[in-house]
Amino acid sequence: MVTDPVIVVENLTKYFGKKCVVDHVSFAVPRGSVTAFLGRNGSGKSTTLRILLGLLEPTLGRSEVLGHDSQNLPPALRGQIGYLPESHPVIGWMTVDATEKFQSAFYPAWNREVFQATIDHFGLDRSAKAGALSRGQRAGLALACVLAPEPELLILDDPALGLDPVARRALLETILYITRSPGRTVLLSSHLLDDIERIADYLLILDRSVLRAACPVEVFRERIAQFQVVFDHAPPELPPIPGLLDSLRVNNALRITVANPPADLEQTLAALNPIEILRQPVNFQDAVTAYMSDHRNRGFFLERPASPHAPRSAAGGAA
Amino acid sequence: MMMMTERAPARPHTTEGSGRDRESGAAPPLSRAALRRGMSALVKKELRENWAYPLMCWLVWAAIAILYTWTAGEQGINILGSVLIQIPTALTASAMGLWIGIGSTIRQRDPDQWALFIHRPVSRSHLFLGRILGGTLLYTLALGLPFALLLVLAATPAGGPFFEWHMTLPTLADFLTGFLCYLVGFLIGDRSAFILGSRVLPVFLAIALLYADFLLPRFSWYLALAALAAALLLLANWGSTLSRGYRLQRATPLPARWSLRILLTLAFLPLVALASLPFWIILNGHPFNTIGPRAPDHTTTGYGLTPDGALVKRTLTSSNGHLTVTTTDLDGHSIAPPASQTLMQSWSLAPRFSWPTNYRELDRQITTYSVADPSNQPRELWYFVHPAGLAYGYDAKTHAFLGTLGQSGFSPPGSARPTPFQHTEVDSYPFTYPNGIFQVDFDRRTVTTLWQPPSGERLLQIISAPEFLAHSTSRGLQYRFAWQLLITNKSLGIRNTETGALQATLALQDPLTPNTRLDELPDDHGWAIEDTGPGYTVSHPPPFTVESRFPETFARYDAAGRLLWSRHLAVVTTSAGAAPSHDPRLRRLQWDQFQRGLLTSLTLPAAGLDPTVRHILLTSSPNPYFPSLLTPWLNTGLLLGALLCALLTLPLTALYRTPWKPAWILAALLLGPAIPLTLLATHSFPPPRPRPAPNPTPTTILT
Repeated sequence: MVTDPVIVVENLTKYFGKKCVVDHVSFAVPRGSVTAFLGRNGSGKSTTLRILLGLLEPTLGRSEVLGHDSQNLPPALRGQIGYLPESHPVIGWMTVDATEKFQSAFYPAWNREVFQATIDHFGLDRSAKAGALSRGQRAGLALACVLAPEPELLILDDPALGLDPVARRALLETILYITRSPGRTVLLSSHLLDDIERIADYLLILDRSVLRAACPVEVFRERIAQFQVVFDHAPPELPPIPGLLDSLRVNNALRITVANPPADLEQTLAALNPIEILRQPVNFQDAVTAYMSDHRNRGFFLERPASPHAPRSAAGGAA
Repeated sequence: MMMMTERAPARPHTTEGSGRDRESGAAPPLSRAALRRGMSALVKKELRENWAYPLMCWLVWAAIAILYTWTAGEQGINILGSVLIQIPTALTASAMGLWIGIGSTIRQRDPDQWALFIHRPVSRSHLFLGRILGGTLLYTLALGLPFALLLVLAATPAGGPFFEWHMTLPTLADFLTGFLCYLVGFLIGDRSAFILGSRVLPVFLAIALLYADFLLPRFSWYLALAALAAALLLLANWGSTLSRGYRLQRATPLPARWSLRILLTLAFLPLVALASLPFWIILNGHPFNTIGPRAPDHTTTGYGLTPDGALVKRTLTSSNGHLTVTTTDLDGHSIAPPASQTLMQSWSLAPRFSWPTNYRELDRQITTYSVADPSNQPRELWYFVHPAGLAYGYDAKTHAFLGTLGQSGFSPPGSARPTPFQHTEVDSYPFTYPNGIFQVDFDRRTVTTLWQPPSGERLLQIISAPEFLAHSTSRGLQYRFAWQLLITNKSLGIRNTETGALQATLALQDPLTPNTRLDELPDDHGWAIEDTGPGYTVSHPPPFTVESRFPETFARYDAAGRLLWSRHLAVVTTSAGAAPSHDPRLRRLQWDQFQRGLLTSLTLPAAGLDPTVRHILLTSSPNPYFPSLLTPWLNTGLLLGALLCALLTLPLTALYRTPWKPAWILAALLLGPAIPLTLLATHSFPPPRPRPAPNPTPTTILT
């Protein structure tokens, strides 16, 4: 249970025509957290964020942002929410300088130093036209416009989308700067799990429109367990294991990834008469990937030998 | 990772006074000054973003100016009265308005661009206001500047010798039309809807507004329409900005929602009208439809004038489908049939309905008279302004003001203006007003009163019966008005133009007996006059049937050549009534004249068909056939059509959850396809469907 939430979402559902894009999603984002909003393409992340900002109307359910119904956010409250859409929109004909002038006219608390620091960080020339900037620079300009009002809540929709590594690093550094500010909440949707692991302390995972995880990152890590089960013969068929995310056979070993591992899992595995059962640390990226993966029909791509000379073997079947 | 953390910029200090109470989470609303600053920035952005539109507009107007100068315009008429200026003014204003409206809003069709624009600490209403202000300024810059230059030019001698402020009204109306078109364009560009559906529908509104700009005769009428349209469009646009998002279905304010519905319905009306046309035809018949029962019994009275100036009374009585024409003198005594054939003039005492003169028809408001010098070059130009009842004279070369002519005579510059002619003009030649007939000599600058009605009477109508004397190619048509028929509110008189005396008078009991339909003149070809046995029949095959199954009969004569009844018939009269009135050659000639639009008079050359012909006039009496009523087949068709429309409406009302369902069904029964089409136009299509159940939730990690 999240105390002092900045965002509260209850039973949020959105249909586009017949297609359900967000399916009865409920979560809360803790104040001061950096919350990563993960999910595969088309899982409904951007739609959820747009509903939170009142740009889109839910088909069902409700959401609150900073204590207000997100469908009726007071204008002044919108000033406390910074939003960076995934395409990093800027007004193309404006120069960087003109962009600042235009944006700052709406924000009495516009922090010029933050704007300047951000555009410096991305190497932007004030006289350059926004439309002529590279993708990474445009992202920097858009981010500067979002940061300069010093919002209480930052909603970043896949800010690293399409950025080269340098621009991505600059973006990440800027986000790290943001997180220094106490009380500021960041809701960040991204596919870059390395970056997320560094900065996020809370996690939301949408899988095919359904919320499948809403927890601190540490909890998520704890709940995902990986076992290496070694046999002296070809591994047998696995019995049904609740929460099994992935199982991979490498020669005579099985690597099993399980969410919310049941208490009797080791006993279940021991019943298969393995030589050895090792509980391995699982890295964040593997855990998230396994959690979001669709396990159907990937046998061909997982069929890999343990060594270049080892015979090819069939992949371990999922439960 | 550490490197990146180290490189992150240090947290800078917030600008003074800009801190917020983060603890409480309260966000103070923007101060008035901050809001003004934001709005100002928004307006500037709109102007800067769309600067190309005014530029394009100015280029178009430069081209128009060059074209006008190249064609040298129209001599003697103010530049504002020129068709070369009026039509481009209206067309460019509406096209540019539409273009600016669409172009300035369509840029934000991308959802993220829209989010960038809309997600700021200003209400959507304020953002809408800023955009509209910016767009209005842009439009004013684009169109207002050339229009202002045009008006300034028109007000100077370079624009024409004569200028009055009301001449600017058409230009102002065009400017308003353009602004309305801008709002229409805004709605098209801004509104979230299918581009090939209801989103593009308001284009028809722009076309309708352009029509109204030209059609409405009074500027005040157009002003009222423009105010109403602007209010509806602004409300609809406001609602569009409030509700727009990624297909946002947010409830818009009720006035905005209803404005949009009204506008879409109005824009949809042309289609509805087209769909309802068959119903309308079935219900009301059409002018060429003669099937159905005859008219009920009726009697119509008209008056006629014989060549010797005597008045006769004609009464047409229809009883049981038979028409009887009786011609009597004014005392009710019967007159021998030949007298009715020699009618020189026939008229009906019906009120003349005429659409008021359009305020933009400057040539109808202002008649230009030219006084030529001996070399036949214009020496003086006199502008008779009908609404003012005064004529203003100018030197044709120097454009110097010469003076004013009114009912009381000439008044030179600097002196008091003469008494004007009365506002309501009865006829322009001769100068005829309710208080008399006047002769104005612009060359001598004199005004002579020819006739004045008795005290307490007003002249309502003057009909001049011309007698053609000769035809000369060099001098034009020569004729004289032998008689003038003067109709006042109390009497009817025949005035001899030679002596100026009234020859006969008739007290009118009911001067407004409606028995004429002069507005339905035929303008197509295919007329025929057939000898149908005992009488003549003038008929016209309807254009829709090859077999001519339902010929429209316009006139019928008895065997003796007497007119039994007629409809839009040109009556040929002769000088003395001696020549046959219905000579087939003359009739053919007469119909030729119909086809050429020469409706009321015909001059025959010396070698003409009949040198005794004096005049051909148009007369009319009611068609004994009424438009068709319903036949059993049509009845059945109508009933089935109405039921079909009701059946179509029923599921639509259920799908759209429309209130007052019985009323919609009843309306569909009465108005046909207009109702289901209106429902489709004003609701989203396809209708919303029930949502399926949510997906089952798999393994989750929720805390």
